[in-house]
Amino acid sequence: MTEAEIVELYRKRDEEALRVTQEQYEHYLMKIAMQILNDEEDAKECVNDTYLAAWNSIPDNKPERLSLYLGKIVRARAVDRVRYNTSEKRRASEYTVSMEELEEVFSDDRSPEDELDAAALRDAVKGFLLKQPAEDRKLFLERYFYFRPLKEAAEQCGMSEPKAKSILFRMRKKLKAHLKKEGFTR
Amino acid sequence: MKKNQLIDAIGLLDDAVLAETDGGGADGTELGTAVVTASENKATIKRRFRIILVTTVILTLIGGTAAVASGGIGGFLNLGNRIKIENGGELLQHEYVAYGDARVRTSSIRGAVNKDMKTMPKTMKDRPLWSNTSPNTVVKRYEDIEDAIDYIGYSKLVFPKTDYPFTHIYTEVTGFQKEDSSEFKPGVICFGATQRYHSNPEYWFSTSIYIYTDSWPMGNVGIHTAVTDQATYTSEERRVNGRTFCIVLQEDPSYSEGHQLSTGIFWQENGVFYYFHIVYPEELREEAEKVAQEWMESFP
Repeated sequence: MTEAEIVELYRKRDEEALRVTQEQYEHYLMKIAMQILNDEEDAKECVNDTYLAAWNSIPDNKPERLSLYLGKIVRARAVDRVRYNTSEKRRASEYTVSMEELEEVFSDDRSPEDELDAAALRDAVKGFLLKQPAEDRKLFLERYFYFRPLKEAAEQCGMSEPKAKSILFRMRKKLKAHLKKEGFTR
Repeated sequence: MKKNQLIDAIGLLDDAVLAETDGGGADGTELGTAVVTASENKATIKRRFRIILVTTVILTLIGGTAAVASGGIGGFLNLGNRIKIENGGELLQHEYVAYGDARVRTSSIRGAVNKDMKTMPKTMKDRPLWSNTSPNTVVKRYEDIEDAIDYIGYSKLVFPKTDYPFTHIYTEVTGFQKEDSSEFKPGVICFGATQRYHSNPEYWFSTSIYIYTDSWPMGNVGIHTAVTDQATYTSEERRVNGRTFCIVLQEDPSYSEGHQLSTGIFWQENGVFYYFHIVYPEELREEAEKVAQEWMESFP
């Protein structure tokens, strides 16, 4: 079944939409959640929250790419959950590893009152990414959007792990400079 | 704080940028190397009986294709589902699903929760769906259990009161829209509390209460738990003051020392699901059994 057909099932409030979504996207969504959470139980819960969110939201929204739409939701749910979990006990996952990598880009050098505009920051990151070679951009997203392990992200982009590591290192440096120029870091 | 915002900003990137990736495996590739192992589950010790009601209901709707066992206990149908994990082991999920449709009428929920539902359309409209909170869920904290009961306003809701000090009282209500309506109604109401039963703050018990209304789109509802394949898992029915409770005892050596024993108790009455959970070390086994018994006896 195509994505558009599944979206149509949601819009018709046909519960078949949930079954098909689970059948076609469960692995994809579990993978994103697991890479962030490293906990099957939590990941499963986030994935099911995602089905629910899709069920509630698609009458109002008509996603062009259902997979990306679901992927964004599950990522947000998983990030939310890992923050809650790590406030109690730090757990090693690709999320925490990625966070450590991104720390060099965006250190906590501002006060909590120094709230950033999320949309402006997103646009700045997008502006930066669009200036990067397509291959590097894909690698960055595999690593920091989907939280793929480095080795796997490298494989996805058809490059060696050391090369991917080196590209990401350079990208983080460049992103840091870009965000500084845009006034997001000092 | 700020690196969190960077992670969030990346999460908000639009589809045009993300479309260059393969969708992180949207083609249905197998779980990667991050699959949890049974031993790694130790970190989740305090939540090993986490109630995943949304999960349960959706799985119930969709139908568990991996069901391996079923049976009835108390007022529940116990469905077992095996989940393979990376180290060759399995997690065994137990779904305690109520017989028949256990939802209550939405109109029987008369508390201030209904006022919060009225602001939900605006919240839903204003927030991006992938923000890190669910716009159709309202979470509140309380100092007093009665305030939580009042907030829900369901006349048949009771709280099993024991004398142990409360450490946390909350409600979490998920609103749903009926078809052809822009109005939100309380669909799933979670009401819970934790109480300390020992001087060591590691040891506490929780009471979790769930009400599904007919605004929730699915019929069968229940409670969902998961254990590792290393767990010894036994269940029994116990009759206390005319009620038959479903009791689940678990011993799991894969969990950390002092947290290997736990007891869960399930009960459903007037469309309300009650769930008790306590974790304890061997030396507190009798104490935990006493607390569990008091909990069952405390229903008015």
